[in-house]
Amino acid sequence: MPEATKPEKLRGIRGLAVQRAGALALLVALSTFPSLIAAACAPKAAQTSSNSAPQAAEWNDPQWTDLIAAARREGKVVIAAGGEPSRSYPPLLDVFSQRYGVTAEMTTGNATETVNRLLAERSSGVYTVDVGLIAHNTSQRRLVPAGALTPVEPLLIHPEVTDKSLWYRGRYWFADEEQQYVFLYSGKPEDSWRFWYNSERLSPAEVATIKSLQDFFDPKWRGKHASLAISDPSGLASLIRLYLAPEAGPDWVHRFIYDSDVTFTGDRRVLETWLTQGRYPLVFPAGGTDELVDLQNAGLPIKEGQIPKQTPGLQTPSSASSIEAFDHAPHPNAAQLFVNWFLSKDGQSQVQKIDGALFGSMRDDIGYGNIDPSARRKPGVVYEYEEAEPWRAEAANAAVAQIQEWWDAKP
Amino acid sequence: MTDGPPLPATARLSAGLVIMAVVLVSLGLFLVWPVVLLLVNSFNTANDWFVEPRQWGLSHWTSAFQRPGLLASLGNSILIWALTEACALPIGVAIAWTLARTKIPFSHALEFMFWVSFMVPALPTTIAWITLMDPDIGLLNVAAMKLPFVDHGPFNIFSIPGIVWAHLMAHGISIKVMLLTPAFRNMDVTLEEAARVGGAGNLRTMMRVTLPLMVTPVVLAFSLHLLRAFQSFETEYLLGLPVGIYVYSTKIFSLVRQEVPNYGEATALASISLVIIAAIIPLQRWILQRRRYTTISGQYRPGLIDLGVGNSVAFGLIVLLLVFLTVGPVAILALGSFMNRIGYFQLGFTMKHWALVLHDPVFLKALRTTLVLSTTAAVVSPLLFSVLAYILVRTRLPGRGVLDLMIWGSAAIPGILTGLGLLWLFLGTPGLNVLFGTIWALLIVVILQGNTTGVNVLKGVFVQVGADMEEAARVAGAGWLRTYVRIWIPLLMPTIVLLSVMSFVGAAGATSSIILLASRDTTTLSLLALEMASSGVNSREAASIISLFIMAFTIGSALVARALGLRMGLRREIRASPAQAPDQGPAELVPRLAG
Repeated sequence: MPEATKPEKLRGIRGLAVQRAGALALLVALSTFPSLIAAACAPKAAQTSSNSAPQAAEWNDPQWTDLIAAARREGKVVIAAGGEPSRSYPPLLDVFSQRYGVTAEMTTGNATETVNRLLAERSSGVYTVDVGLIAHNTSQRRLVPAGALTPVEPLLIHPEVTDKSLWYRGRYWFADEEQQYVFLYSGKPEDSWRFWYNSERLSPAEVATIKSLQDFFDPKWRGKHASLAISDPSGLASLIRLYLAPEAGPDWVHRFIYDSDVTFTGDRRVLETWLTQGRYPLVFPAGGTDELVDLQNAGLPIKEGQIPKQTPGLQTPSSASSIEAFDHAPHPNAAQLFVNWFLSKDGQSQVQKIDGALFGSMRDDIGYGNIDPSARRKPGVVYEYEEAEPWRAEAANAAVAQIQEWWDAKP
Repeated sequence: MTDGPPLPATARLSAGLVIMAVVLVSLGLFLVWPVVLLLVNSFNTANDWFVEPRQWGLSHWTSAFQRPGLLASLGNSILIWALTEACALPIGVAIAWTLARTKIPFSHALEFMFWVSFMVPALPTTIAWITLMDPDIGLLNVAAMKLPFVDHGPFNIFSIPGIVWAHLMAHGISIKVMLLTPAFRNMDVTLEEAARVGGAGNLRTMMRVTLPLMVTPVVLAFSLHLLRAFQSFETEYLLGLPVGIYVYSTKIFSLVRQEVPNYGEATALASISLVIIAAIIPLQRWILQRRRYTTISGQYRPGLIDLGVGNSVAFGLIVLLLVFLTVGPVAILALGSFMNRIGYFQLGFTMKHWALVLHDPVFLKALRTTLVLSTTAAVVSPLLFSVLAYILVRTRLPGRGVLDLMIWGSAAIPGILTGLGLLWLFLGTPGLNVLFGTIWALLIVVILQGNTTGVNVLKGVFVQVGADMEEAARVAGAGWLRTYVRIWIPLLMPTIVLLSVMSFVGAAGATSSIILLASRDTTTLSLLALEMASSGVNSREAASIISLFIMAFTIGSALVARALGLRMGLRREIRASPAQAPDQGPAELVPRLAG
């Protein structure tokens, strides 16, 4: 190999030095970039609003103060959450931590994976979680039969929570058959089946022909109708409701899955795009209604249509509707403290701030704040809450099994 | 394994046996045992493996293969794979050859851009092409329809050709270029020169000499893609589902994504990969035994071909392709991160998604974890894979067949399923259960996860390299370790750098294999992106921002890896004129390399 000349060597050394310096600068830039952007994006007002809420009523009963002391000794409470709560509830946990000096940790990921992991852990004798904020369908269908939960009511000691007169219709509401494990803290009135359509692709006259659920089977909708697949929890929940509804029932759901030429997707964004762009101008059932409302308000050509329900009543508004307590909790006192606080006036007020228009606490004493009037329970009206009926869990499980079987056999 | 005097043959053999036993047990535990656990449990007929008591039977297997539309979906998978490969392989070979064997300007920068295109996640690439080629509102179709006599948009991304196109524009071409360019660079120019002396032109030389020499890496790239044909699903899911095109992988995916996951049937369906592996392994062995494809020896002399004006033409075409492969998707990602909602320009722009991500307390933790995992994988994985490849190709130790089978077998089941097997492994194995919930469990998984590609790519390079240099080093008194570090590592360095980047990308993007092992404290950026894009959060914009971070770190690491690799390795990419003496042989090379 020919010997390099001195200038060539110098150039090589300089080149290497420049390369190294460049690499170093790049690493420094990459590592500082997030904090710079974070500073740029920081809201001007300090984020202390979560603390400005009314604090939990003082209660100096020794049982309560002992519980707080014991929870502090345990140091933390671990909460399993799936989907939306895992992302939006951390501010809530910060409030709890500041109130009681107990750290609250929350798991990440979607509900199915969270539950798979928990159940696999427990079958190996590993117990890592104290409290669940998991979709009530999943909890009653998987956690209850697996024996992973402990009854909630015996854990409730705070007078704000144990005074049932402060709860809607003077009772607690549970989603499981035994009425003790899956505590429903939220439910909003729902008196219609809601569908969405593209107002540029469908005329008002065409949409007006949809007066009942049977009208979705009109041949004119073939190739125009899209829906949420059962892989999305909202898609499955909608089909369960339809399966159990007197105006639809198993035959309707069977026909809907098999013989209506509906295109299903498990991706809400895809469904939303199909609707807004008109590829599929009719969507029923839809998920993420609040986001579709936002798009409509932003001027996109989509509108909501409604078909009156035969049996209006309360309905769980989203996956964030129930709280559960785990058996073999590694931090039992902290778990009990959290459950009591979460269901107290203070805790539910904090949840209302986060969940916004979707929320309808089963407590009667927290007011409605900014919640949309249509989502408020009307004074004097006695609403049924089907998802909290003891028969409902078993019926829903049977519905899921049948729907899944039909779904699997779908070409 | 030390640098002392050579050990007697019996001692070397027994040391080798011990090493092989350790390797087989360790890899067996992490690569094969999770797959075995899944396969065994696939005979558990309970509907919910986590809730119901175990009952043994064949129902998952019988019902899996009786699923309606399964044959059609299998046919679609094969068709899409064949069409993609028919386009990607010749294009990839042509580009790799051009970059490595011709005097095309900026060949290294162009090669690096193919690495960048590999780093772009498939999802934004697919979304970018939907934006352009949606038959109704795609920007290209809208523009075309403004032309006279054009009534309908000519492009339809929601079709089999559309899916093939999206695959080519995602990783189909770039992975071929990445794998084949170092192999072409490793080629000895002497053989090509002999062909030219014999009167053959450039094209004839490439077809009759260069390509046959490249049969090992080409078959390898082909085999790896064949294995993935029944596992990739994102593109098919987004583009096929709206028009009723189902593929095999979407069937598996939908089974696992049910509210109560049907892992039993999914495992049964995924086991089809075992059949493919059964065909690949004998093919690999046959190729590896054909030592006449040695291209790097002590007499190794690289050289570059001058295409004349063709250099500029090739440069222009490759740059155009790179615009499609990188600029478009990255621009879409970056633009999308500032849009109120991706795809809706009328909703305006915002910084709120950036604020959401950067103020998320998990973000910084995830960033730290991702960097630790990715950097460790980038350093450890290629070195580990190189030792495994060395054992398979350059030794005669017993058990190599089993080792090879393990390495291929670990790729048989897609990550979406092996995640559960790994969870069981870490929960149920004494000694390993203490790692559960810690970053160590994730480290082991991400270090090993690219083993099939990594080991086989390196096997291809070991086959290309002749035995004379190693033998010369041994004759000069170097022990195994010294020979490996001073001879093999520099020779392998271009490939090690490549695998280092691939490992970094793999670790930074890992989701399904680690999702059941990660806790809130050990979550990664990719898991955070997945969570942001999930139906619960539904913020694909935030997911785009996290993807941008992953890409930025990956590109940064690739630059560093290249710089270090070129400094540490044997710099063979001679540019305009060969700088290495034509007659330089092992006697000259070894003292310089071995110190």
